[in-house]
Amino acid sequence: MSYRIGIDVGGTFTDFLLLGEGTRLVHKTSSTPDDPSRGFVTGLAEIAEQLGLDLEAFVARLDLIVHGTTVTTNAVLTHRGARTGLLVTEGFRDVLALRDGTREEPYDNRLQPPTPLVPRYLRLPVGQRTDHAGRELAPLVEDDVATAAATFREEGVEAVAISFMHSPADPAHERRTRDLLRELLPDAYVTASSDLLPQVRYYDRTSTTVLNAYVGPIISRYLDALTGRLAELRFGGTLLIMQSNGGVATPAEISERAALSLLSGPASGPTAGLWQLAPHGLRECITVDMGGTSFDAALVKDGEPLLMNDGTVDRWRLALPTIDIHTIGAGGGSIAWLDEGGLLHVGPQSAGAQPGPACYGRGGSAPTVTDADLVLGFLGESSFRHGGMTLDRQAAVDAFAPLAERLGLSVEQAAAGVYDLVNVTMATGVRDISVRRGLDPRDFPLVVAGGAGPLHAAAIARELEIPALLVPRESSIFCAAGMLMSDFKHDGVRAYKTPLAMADESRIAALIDEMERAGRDTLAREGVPADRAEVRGALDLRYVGQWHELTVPIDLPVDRQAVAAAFHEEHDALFGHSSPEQPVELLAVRLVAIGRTEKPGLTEAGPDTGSVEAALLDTRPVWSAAARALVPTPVHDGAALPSGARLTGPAIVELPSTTIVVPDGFVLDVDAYGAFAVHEGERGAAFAAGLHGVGAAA
Amino acid sequence: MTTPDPILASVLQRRVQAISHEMATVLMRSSRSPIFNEIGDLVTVVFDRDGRTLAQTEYASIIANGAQPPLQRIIEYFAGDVHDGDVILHNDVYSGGNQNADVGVFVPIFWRDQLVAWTASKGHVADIGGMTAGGYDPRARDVWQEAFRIPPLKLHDRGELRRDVWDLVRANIRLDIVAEDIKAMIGACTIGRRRIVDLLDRYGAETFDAHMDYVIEASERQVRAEIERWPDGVYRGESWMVSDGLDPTARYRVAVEITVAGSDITFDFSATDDQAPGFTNMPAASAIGAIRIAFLMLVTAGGLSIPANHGVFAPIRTVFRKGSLIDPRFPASTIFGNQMCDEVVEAIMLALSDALPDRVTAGWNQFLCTALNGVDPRTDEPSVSLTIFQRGGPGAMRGADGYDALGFSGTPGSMRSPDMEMFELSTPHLMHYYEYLPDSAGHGEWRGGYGTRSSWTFLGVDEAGTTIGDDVASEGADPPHGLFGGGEGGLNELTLRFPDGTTKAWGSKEIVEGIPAGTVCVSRNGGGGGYGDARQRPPELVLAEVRDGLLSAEAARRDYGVAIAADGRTIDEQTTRRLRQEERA
Repeated sequence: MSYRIGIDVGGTFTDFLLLGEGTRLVHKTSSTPDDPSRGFVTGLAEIAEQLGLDLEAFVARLDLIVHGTTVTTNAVLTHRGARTGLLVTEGFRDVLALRDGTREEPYDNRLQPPTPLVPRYLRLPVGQRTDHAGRELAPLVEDDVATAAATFREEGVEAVAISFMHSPADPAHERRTRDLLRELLPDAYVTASSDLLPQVRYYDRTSTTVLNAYVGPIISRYLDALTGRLAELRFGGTLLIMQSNGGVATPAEISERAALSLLSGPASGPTAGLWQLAPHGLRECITVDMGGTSFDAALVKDGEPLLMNDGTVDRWRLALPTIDIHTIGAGGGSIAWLDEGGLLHVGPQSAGAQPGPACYGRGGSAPTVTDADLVLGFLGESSFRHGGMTLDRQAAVDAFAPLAERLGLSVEQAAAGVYDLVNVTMATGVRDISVRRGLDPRDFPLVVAGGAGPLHAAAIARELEIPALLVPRESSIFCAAGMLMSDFKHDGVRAYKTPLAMADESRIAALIDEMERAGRDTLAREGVPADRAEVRGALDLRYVGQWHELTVPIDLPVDRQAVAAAFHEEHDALFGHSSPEQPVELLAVRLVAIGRTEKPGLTEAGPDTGSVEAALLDTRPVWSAAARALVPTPVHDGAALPSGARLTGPAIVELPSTTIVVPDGFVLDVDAYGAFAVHEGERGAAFAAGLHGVGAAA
Repeated sequence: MTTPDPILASVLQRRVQAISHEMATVLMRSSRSPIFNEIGDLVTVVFDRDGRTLAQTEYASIIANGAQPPLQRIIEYFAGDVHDGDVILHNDVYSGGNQNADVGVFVPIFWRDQLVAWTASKGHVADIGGMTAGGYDPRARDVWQEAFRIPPLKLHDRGELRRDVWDLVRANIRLDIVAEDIKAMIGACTIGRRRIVDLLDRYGAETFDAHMDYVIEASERQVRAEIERWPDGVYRGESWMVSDGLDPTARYRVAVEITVAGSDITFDFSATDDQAPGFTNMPAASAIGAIRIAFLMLVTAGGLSIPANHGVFAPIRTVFRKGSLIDPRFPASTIFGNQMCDEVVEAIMLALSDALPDRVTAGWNQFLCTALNGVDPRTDEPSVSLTIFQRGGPGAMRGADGYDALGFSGTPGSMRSPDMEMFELSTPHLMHYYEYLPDSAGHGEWRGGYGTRSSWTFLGVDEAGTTIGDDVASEGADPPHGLFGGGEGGLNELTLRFPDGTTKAWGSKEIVEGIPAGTVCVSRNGGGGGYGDARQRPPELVLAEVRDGLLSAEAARRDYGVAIAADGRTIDEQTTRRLRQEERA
């Protein structure tokens, strides 16, 4: 018994990657949004059948299930979370609704604020006040809590968030309130802000706490149902849930800290990218994932995905550490259009899956990016045959005809324009995540996922002067793969605002110690052996007067001068200047506790035999940027390309779930693990030469 | 001559926009002054060689126009004497600036020894010299009292920092962090320069120029097509500014005459009253910024969403009368000018309300907040704070309620509020409350945005405060107007309660010095005007606000004709029907 399975439940498909016993099995099944655990189990049954096992026998051999879910994200997006109440300090009833005072579109007077996840009549004030230093200015009025609890009971409230001013400085009132509520409302899911996120900024903390309460009962019920179903199947292994910070946790932890699952699905993408590169000794990459409606980009530096503390979910602040994923509304379904001035645009309107691009033949008539890919020959009419669909090139041509006419161009030229423009848009998104961190995208290879990603990645790389990209053989189940590679990860934070020069090193050490004990306890509860647990401390620092802080790693014992020096250096790297003579301010102490999991290595996945010649399927007319015309181009079967194979662009490589475009000037190499390295120029060739197995075939 | 390729034009437009965005990201994250990085009072711009805007990224709308007029002066002033590696500093309102506290950095970009473009960053700095820290002082009677003037000034010459010049600037500004902000602005411009040079290495200057021309022309065509849909005519509107900082009851009329003719539009403010003796004068660049805000709101309401460049504003002509409240004569003080965006926007919206009833908003509550300074006893360090959480509501429009607590029209939603905990941690004040102000929204089928109420105790040593804004009830200001049957919005009230029990109604542009610790400030910032007949508003929306405690049952009955049942949770359908019918009869 030694199978491990990654299960990524998305909106349309549930992806599975099974590893172990010499097997590497990829499976997809339709998601069942009404009860996602159904699709989950259906997929397991289908896999068992493929293995020639009955379901129970298969489940009995499962060691580990790592699961990414969109249950909580969907609950927020569709406003179908738990009925939630919020207790706040009297006088601050609207801290949630007021947000940070901004409107996302300054000139759009029709834009409305988001509907608060807790209506105002369930946002109730409690008499109490603590000041910034943790001194009690007014005692807790327990009657207010009791009155609120009565209202909540009457209104059928299932979850309560508690967020009082300056609770990180002294959580006593929040804790007492939490304990009272547990007595008064024993069935309610209660979250106190100081338990979840003891850091300064009242709106950020309140919004995060409300998100946690709002999805808490949802994920708890879901995980209960799922563990119940698995118990029925006599599952004896470990179930882990993917968290938005890129780590995994047990269902018990996730049920307590439900907001950690809000971006569960895509959070494993960067780890998956790292997994592809790690066997080659590489620790940095940019991952890009392009599907039908959106494009996600994320960055891995020094073997760690980059995190942010200021994410949003449906316009609400999520201040927990979260993988920094930049999403752009550009995908295969994005619609191309001309404005009245004659400038071409792509998106943000999308044809989605229904009616979909014109070439799907489901009634769509607007020209989309996928239609452009088909017009240009990057896709062939049979490219989607594994999904049971034939693409209609004539429909795509017809969809582009009016646009081309208005532009005074041929249909192919207009489609090429759409292809270029959407690539520039996506490249801008990639540049954004890197420059925000003071990093140069040219220093990172792209790892490409999603059905539409490999069609566009080489062009995006060229736009960014990135010399190389890697397309995993199963790029469409990328996130499921990443889940199997993720470590346990638990973030702690404690507010401590003081000039760094005056910071009490022993207090920092005490806060670190407290968080370390909590982190190691959690890992122990999750079954992580002590020798696989490690912790890392960091400080949130800024120059006095700055709004944004930087998180700077620290070593223990803390040396303030060394920390200040590291901060100045980091500031200089990010922003091009630093001011060593200026005072630095400490805002918070952080600690992440990591439990290293055992990671399966990449198994060799390319066929042992075969040749480029034998893999040649066909020749079809494909757009050449240099010739500005369609030119006959070889099309290869990627599944038949062995490790070590090399082909030179222009070429098309078709795989069951995606198509790789190798433009003129690029070279494609298959590495030892069956992944496709697409590269250009000397730097790109040097990258590919460093990959195992490249150039091995004669 | 290159024939422009429409596709390449779209691609280059996207790239140049991304460059201005990257500059703003760098600037936002590395600047120091709170008003600069907290509020986001900054803009970054890429210009062509002639100073035409190619792309910009603004966090504060009112400053968005502030970088272009000075560049025109810089180009004229240094004609023939601009070199690779120059960095030019500027703030002066009498050479194109919009506000003296808004300091700009301009960097010429050379490619193969030819001037090809410019980058600029501009932001509101925490101090710019003058007689009062931070600059806002209603007692200032001339420009020298409120600022250290910087006409076009080379800070770097051919790549070399002019240390003597830099030291002169630093010597005239109180706070070191301003120097840090200027460094951050230079950093942003330098990054922009690098990216533009990369672009030119790839495409060459001729292709770049031809395609940028195409982009500007395309944007202009698009905006002109929108204006074509506006009915031709001459439209007049006015609004009032009350108090000039010297006389709290002084009233000044801001008047506009708008001429729409085909695809051209003229905003003529000549009929505006004469300039004020104090600081309530608006430089032309600031007024143009305010006009553009109103214009962008109107075209956005028409369904357009286009990045701002030279072409977007090409159909606009502006006319001001020298010596009036807008475009005053040298050396009038002007630091309040940006705040008058509220008056300019209101006059324009009112003027066009009959011509463009689907695009205009009802009256906005005019912004009022305080700028506070003193010593924080916890650190014995000077403390400067802006209470921009004090926010009123904007007016409603057809199809949309006003956005609650949006605040100042000059930075509509781009201005962040200080977080309440951070405010207490960073400044010597204790907040008592900060919430929506019930019953403050002007009623209507679409209601105005709600205002807010807030209160805090002063804990600093020797604090002084200046109010920045308008619409104070005690000064006799007019409430924000409703439109097409909508109700009026609300005014602002600010009261100081001193420890000895006395109180003071704080005016709109008034400095109060020596505020003793323990003084309590109580602020009520009104809501915006409503749009349309309140009796057409669906009763369930009215009920929801009653349940939420935002609207009283009395106001629901009186203003909306909705009777709420005794349980406070349901509508008394019968009475509501009767009330709504009576009104119609």
